[in-house]
Amino acid sequence: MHIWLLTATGVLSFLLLADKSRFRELYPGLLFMVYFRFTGQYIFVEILHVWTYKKLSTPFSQIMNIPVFVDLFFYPAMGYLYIQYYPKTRPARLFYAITWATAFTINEQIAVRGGIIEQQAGWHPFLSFLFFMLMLILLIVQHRFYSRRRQT
Amino acid sequence: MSYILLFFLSWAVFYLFIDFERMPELYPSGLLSSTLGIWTDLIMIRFKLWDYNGAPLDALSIPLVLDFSIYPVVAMLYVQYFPHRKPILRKTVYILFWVLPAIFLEWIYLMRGEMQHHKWWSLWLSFISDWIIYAILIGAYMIVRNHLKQNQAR
Repeated sequence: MHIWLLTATGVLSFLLLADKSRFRELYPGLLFMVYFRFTGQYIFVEILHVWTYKKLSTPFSQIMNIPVFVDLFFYPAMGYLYIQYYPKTRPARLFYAITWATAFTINEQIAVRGGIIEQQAGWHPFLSFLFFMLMLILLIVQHRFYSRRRQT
Repeated sequence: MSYILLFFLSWAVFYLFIDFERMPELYPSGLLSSTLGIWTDLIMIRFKLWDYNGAPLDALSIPLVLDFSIYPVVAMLYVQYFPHRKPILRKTVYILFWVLPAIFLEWIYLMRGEMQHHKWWSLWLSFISDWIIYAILIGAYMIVRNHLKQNQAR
């Protein structure tokens, strides 16, 4: 249920809130989120076994043993919106990043409580928060890099 | 060891041949290539249509090495030199020019025992997959190219 809810949230928020006229500009951000999520899953689930997924019911989840729909629809849509609404001032940016990373961490903890994610000993919600902060920082770094030519 | 060599060789080729001025435009292709790579890696853990071995790296780390080196480098160079304004035949020959070395490299790895195909997978299917991947790469690149063109026109 949680996975389906996130998938629907991703699709609906993209359809309703995303500025589609900026798709060509923000498309690498979508791509980056898919790449970061899949790479993270590969390293943390398959190699380091830091967390594992249980009770996955969405298609492809049985094949890849990760919530594929969440990584393909929810996080990329959120990344798109994150860049779209990125504030202009530094304090606002810091507050913005912390708010998003906190929301992602809370969402993950709901999945942990719901038994969808099983985190191994040593992993802590604060580490998840740092992981999401890193993801959001890299998302903006890559966006600036991609947009560099347009600003010159 | 050959995978580590391939890693460094890929980035050396990148350094020598990439047009750094065009990097922001080429980078999404590298990202897409790595994404497709990591996606197939996640699938192959379950399906085992192919796998790798090559000390000192363990079997699960080798795909990551490829995803961080040869996949993005080849994708960016492929897109950089793509003959956009040439006839379709020239474009097809160009793609073939990139597919054949990829297949040859895979064949070498198979011969050396550092890669294995399993079940129904074969070099022919790799050949077909490469065509599809190269077509996807150029299709996705058009999104970026058109965007940059529009911005330059403003």
